[in-house]
Amino acid sequence: MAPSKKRLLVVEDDRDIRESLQAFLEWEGYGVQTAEHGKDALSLLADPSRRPHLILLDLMMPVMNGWEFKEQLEQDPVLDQIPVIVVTAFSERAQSMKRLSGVLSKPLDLDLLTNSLKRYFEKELVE
Amino acid sequence: MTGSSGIAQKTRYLVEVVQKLSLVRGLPELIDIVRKAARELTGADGATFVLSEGEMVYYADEDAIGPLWKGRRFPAKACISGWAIAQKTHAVIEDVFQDPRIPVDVYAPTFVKSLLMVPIRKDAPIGAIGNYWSRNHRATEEEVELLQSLADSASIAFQNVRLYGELSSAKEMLERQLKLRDDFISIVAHELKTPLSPAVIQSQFLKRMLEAGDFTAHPQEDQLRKFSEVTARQLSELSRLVEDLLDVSRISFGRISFREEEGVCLSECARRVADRYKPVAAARVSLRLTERALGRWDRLRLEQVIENLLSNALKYGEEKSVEISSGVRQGFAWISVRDYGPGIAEADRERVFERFERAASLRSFGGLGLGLYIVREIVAGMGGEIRLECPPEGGAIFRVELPIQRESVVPARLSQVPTLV
Repeated sequence: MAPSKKRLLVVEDDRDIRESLQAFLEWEGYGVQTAEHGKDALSLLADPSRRPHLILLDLMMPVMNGWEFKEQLEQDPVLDQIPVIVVTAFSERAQSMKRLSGVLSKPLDLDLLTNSLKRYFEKELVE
Repeated sequence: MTGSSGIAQKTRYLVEVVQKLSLVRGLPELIDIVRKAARELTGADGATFVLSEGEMVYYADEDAIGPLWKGRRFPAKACISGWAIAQKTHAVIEDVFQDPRIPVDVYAPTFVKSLLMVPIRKDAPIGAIGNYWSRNHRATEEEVELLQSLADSASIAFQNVRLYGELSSAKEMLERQLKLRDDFISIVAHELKTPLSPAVIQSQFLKRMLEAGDFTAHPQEDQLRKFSEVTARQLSELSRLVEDLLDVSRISFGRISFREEEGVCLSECARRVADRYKPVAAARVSLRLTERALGRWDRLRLEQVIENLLSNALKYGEEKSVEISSGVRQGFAWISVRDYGPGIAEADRERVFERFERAASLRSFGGLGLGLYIVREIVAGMGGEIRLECPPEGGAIFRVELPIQRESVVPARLSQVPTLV
């Protein structure tokens, strides 16, 4: 099981994907917050005590899409430190984005997702 | 090369010009070559390139010792180029001020004393080439022949330019269509993946839980219920996408069919569609429906139209309310769907009804870009009309009008554009 207490933020506009991911990741032992779009996510990030260790980011979303959200993160030296894994059906369109910790394509494979997360947090422990 | 150089030299020069003209791809380049060659060939003091524009003639360009009429337009009837074009023959004028075909006031400010004018393309002239002298000079037969030969070559080059232009715009259109198709394929792939995503997560999650034998954290029944809900919802979303794609192909092949029946009520159709959206958007949708709006229609197609308009309104309406209204007037029944979102910019109001088009950014909103296209084609197939209004107070209103009784069975008006899918 993944290290507990690691907090994830899932930014995804599709309710079914968002809720399924949340249920699964909680079952895997992570703390999970969710946001419906970039703007929603930014307001969650405004509270430093609840800041996640990693963000799972969808790209195509209303109000504020994933590209715009990532740009907002880059404007803020603190938020810019939070690793971002993009989860998208348009994986080729994530190529222009800078410093991503990973790109996972939809439909999401849960093995790939858990492996990426484990690898990411293990690497962090080693460092 | 001026004055009385040998005919052989002039012929050589003409051949060179003809070769240059054969490579020309644009009108400005053609005009530039011809105006210079026209002066050079005869050793005249000036040359003009004139284009016929119906009632008018246009002095497109010139090469001369002093200003002539470059960029000006004259009535064809009042000038010598117009005469040469209308008569399909050349004009030789030794003294412009003695010839009744010459408007004196136009020539007085210029250096011109004598002229030669030949039509471009003798059988159906598209313009004329003029030669001008500052001294009294009667153009020789040789000069007439040389200038006419140049005009004939210019006419062939002109045809080439036009054909080339048509070819390039056809090529551009084809490239645009191919680009649209490629974009469309990528959007289709994305859209088909979207409903698959939650179903795949749910099934993999369920499998892991079964393998782990761990249902303590989430009661088994809850998880199974969630799984079946999500899967059912996403499968119906997938079916809808596939159905849209099939409709587009039916429309392209002119094979969309209507199963009309008597006594179909437009308001009832709207109510049924709104009911289907109750679980997700009950609070946002309000109905202002007339009691009875009966006609001979295809019930399912009608519901498809309303459903497309309603789902668009909910999607782009910024979480604000959506109103569906209906009514009857003079042989027509109408239904309108109104949202209070950002509305649609003037420039996009026609485009949104085209295939693969959307007014909103693809980065923010998914979708195939087919909904309104399908709606418009179905409505047209039913003999009706769809209009889009964006009132100043905001939002968009899509209004569909359908004839209650159709005179006879008219074949559906369907686009005959070749299919891309």
